Amino acid sequence: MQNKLDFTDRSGGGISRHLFDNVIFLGPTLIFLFAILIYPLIYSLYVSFHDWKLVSTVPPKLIGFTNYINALKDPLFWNALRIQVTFILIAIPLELIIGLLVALLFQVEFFGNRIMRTLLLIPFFVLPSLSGLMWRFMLQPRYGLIGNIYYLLNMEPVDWLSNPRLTFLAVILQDIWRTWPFMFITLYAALSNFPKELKESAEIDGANKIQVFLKIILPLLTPAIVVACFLRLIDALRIFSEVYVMTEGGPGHATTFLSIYIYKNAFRFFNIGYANSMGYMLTIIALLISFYALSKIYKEELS
Amino acid sequence: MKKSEFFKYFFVFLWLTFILAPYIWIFITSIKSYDELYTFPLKYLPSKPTFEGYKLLIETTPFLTYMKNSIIVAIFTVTIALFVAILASYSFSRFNFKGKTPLSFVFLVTQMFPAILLAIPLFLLMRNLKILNTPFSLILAHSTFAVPFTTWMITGFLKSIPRELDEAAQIDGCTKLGVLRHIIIPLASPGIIAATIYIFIYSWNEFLYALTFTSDIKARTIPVGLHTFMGEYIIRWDLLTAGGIITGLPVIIFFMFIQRYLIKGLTKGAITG
Repeated sequence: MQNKLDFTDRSGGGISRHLFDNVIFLGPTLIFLFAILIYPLIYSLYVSFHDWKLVSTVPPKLIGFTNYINALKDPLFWNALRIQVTFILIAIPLELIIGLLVALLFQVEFFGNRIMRTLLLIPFFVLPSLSGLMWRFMLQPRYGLIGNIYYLLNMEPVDWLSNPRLTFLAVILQDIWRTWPFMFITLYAALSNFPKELKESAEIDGANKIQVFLKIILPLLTPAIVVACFLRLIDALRIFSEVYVMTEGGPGHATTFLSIYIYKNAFRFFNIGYANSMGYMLTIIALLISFYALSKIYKEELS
Repeated sequence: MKKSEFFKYFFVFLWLTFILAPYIWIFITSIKSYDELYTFPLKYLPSKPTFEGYKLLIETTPFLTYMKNSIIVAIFTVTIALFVAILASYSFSRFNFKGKTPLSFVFLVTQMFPAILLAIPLFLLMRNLKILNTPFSLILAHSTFAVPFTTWMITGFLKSIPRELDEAAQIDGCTKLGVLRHIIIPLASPGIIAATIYIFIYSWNEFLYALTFTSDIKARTIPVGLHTFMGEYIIRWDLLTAGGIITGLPVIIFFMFIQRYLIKGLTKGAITG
């Protein structure tokens, strides 16, 4: 809808007045965005083409794409990418399944429905770093809650966080525990918007529950599922604080996700040129996925 | 109660217990005495509940400084984000101008950027400006997320307010800023409150920028402060669990308070892009 007011301003002054309004309303945002977002992003691109040390008296040297090429040759970069992809492929589908199941369960009114729904969402909003901390505590072999399970089963406690595979598993469990509520609430909201008659008419026709779900609910829910998975994917690509607190990327490099590897390169090894080039590659991955998903989502919305 | 209904309650309850168990567990741990903390086999409940951990936390560590910093950073981030974002949202929802679509696209896309990419150039810029180790550095860094996010969220709310209201007020002689102040902001207040709390929680929770920009105890916020209780050789779980409870509680209370708006805003945003 066109807003006619903009162009036929009653106070007189026409276009210039309109421009003036826009400067007032948008000016602060544009200045802000440029100063703390656009400029730093361009600056980091500039840095990524240099051999640039964080603490050094030697001036940065322009080296073109060398940092990018080095990253592609760096086994630890590929290791981080592999960890990231494995993590995403395991965690997100599980979060989706759990979120969907619980969302379906909550579609029927029952006593305590609302308060339970609220309580279930808590992990998603409370500090990710606290979540990492709690899991690290629970996984302590001697006095942790999970370590205690071994004791109850009369087994020697296993230190999860010193075993690469178990640590990776623990990070995945932590992430599922923390973020499944996002899937839950997104799908719950989408399901709540469905007209009731739809389900009822299907039930009168004699379709059983699983058929109703597969043939009617799931297709209608697909757009919401796609959006929820996309948003989780973007978030999972930049996972940092909970893992950093829980494992610091270890043992070895078992949980060195991309953001952690980049962080270590920048602020432990002070190699910020190299770190920035990897940061850009991570961003390009995120943007490619975003463009692809956004174009799909908007196309579906238009048609 | 039907059998299927019983199973449902049973399942939901079991799941709820599993979800909340870690919080309950750190609370129980926080009121244990220091000796009982490390007993083996594990003791589930403290024989004599004590708030010794909390007392130690406040008296022997800079926890209150961390808390003060967290509050300052969060309040200023929220204020800046709201001021800038309300103006911009009004423009986005009411005016047509050249470059509106690309600009709103920029707002959306910047939210996809990983924080680590921004942390490095922001670190360099802040080092040059000599504002590392000050709350100001974190306020600016948090604004990189807060401003676009708040704009995007409030624009959605403003679009649902009928334009006829603005027009009527303008005919009565109200300026555009007057319309915004007397009509739009009061009507959009549920959305603005939701955005405020969301940004507050974001800033309160933020870890990466805080870790990068503050190495000085005086400037640290809670998430990084807590992390420093995990030393190389010794992890002070008594302090950590007490600190965790104090830090998590405000988020839970805030969340309970506004969950209806928050969920509405979140899901609405998620579904409509």
